[in-house]
Amino acid sequence: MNLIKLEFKKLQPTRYFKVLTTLWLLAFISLPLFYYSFLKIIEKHRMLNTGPLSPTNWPVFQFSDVWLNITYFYKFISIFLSFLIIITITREFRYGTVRQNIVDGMSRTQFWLSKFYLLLFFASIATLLIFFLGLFLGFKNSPNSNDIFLTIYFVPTYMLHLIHILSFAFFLSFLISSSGIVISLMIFWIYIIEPIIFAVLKHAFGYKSFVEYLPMESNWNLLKFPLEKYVFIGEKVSTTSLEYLIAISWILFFLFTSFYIFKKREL
Amino acid sequence: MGNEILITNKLTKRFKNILAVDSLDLVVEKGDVFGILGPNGSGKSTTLGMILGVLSPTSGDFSWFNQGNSNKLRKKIGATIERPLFYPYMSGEKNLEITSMIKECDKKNIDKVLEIVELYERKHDPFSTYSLGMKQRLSIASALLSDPDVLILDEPTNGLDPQGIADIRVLIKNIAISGKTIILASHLLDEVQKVCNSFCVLKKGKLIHKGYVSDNFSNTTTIEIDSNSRDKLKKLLSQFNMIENIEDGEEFFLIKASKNISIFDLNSFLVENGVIVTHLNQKKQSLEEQFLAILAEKN
Ligand SMILES: Nc1ncnc2c1ncn2[C@@H]1O[C@H](COP(=O)(O)OP(=O)(O)OP(=O)(O)O)[C@@H](O)[C@H]1O
Ligand SMILES: [Mg+2]
Repeated sequence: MNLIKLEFKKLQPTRYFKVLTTLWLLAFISLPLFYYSFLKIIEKHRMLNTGPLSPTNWPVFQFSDVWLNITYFYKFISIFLSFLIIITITREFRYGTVRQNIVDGMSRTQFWLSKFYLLLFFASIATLLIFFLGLFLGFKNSPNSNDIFLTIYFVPTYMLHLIHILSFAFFLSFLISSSGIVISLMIFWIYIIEPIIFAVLKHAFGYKSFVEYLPMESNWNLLKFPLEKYVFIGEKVSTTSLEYLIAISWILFFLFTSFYIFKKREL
Repeated sequence: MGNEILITNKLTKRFKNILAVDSLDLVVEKGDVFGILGPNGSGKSTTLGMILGVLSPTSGDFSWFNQGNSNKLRKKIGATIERPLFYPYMSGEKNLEITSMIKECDKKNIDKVLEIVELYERKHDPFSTYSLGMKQRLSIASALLSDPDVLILDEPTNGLDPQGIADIRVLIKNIAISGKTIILASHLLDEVQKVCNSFCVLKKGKLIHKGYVSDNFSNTTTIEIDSNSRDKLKKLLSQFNMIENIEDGEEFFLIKASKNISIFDLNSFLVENGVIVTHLNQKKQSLEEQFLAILAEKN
């Protein structure tokens, strides 16, 4: 049975699907413009100590900085993709079609895998788009075509970030299986609960506070704020092996737990 | 050995504090049209849920075709579950395409089964716009799609109009004649009587009876009788020794007699004594009476 083909068949454009993908695409296309206006604002209002170069002259869209700059800013729109994942999984529970699929002869492993493949598919598409966008912006803005792929590892890191946040959505969907609750919980976790835990840990333990082990913090740490690079020349913005390790551990945790939950649950 | 389609072995399901299915031992053989009867909440759907892989048994197990219970075996079974469950935003046809992908069967059957359940004209409409009966028909179509050797139907005529009910019953009978095995859960007794050859009765999750629909296992039989001289008839009937009870009906007497009563002897006795019978009818015991008797017996 071709699981990914089956998923595509189920994915028929419904209204929510159209709305979410359109939103995501719009955000995707308009981000570079925002980026540029953002730099302009910084420059105009002298909001930051902007270092030796004025922000609009920073080589943000030139090779090979373009990779780290776009991957950082594009992680803000990953949440749309995770909503897509949440809705495609939870509606199978809401319509009871997961039951029918199993009765018809799918195994639970196959059902779980079919959703996992969809996750990988979304992550791959978004990564490919980022890759092409990077090439486009790079060729457009760079004075020469040296170092095109020097920091290309930010692109696979971006994919890892996507898989991470999508796995979180995936895990919550199999755990709770109601789209409304899962979406609220996800937003609540990312913007309220984890920041509170973060603050409490920081307050209690100071420098050695282990906040980097928090799930969303580990996700965020994969791609660091890139602009400091231009303020403090020589500042490193790469990801450490430990940070990769923590992020991958969370991904494995989300995936295995969701698999286990789904294997056990009554349908 | 070798003819069993389904064997359950002490199959048990407990939901928190409800024992929904209690050590159920069933054997369904090839060619059976097997009815599962029982009042509401007796565990019929729960049993089907377990043998179809959506509920995990608390204890006990079951085996399909003497080969265990893998999902591959389920592909050889066509099943409808309690409610028709399909993707509401997709057409009936698209929904069946999904079924055929999962069952790995030919898409060519789709039009055929849609015609059988008379949904062909509406095949391009979204499932969400179907009436309850049409949804039920679609789920029967999906069960038939892979031309399976075993058909499991959980209250298949639920929500259908009288014509639909009659059609589905004819369909089930025809499928049975072609040698396929059918398991039918229902609380509609005449449905089971009309289509099944063997049946079992569940009550609060327990198997309380197993037998053939044709069996008549009650000790008494009911006879309708009437004559132009009712008083004389009643007097004579009370003298006939196998008769246990006489009830005055409006049109005839309803008598309860021992199962061994001979209608010939009764009639001869009456004629010899000068009573001419104008109405005489030994009622075949319906499954409904059997069913109620079984339930009462086990109380
Ligand atoms: N998911 C569940 N959680 C808790 N109890 C359940 C669940 N599903 C079924 N039950 C209980 O199990 C028992 C058997 O239910 P089941 O649906 O198998 O009955 P049924 O014989 O199919 O009834 P009906 O004729 O009404 O369809 C009932 O007491 C029911 O309340
Ligand atoms: Mg039921």
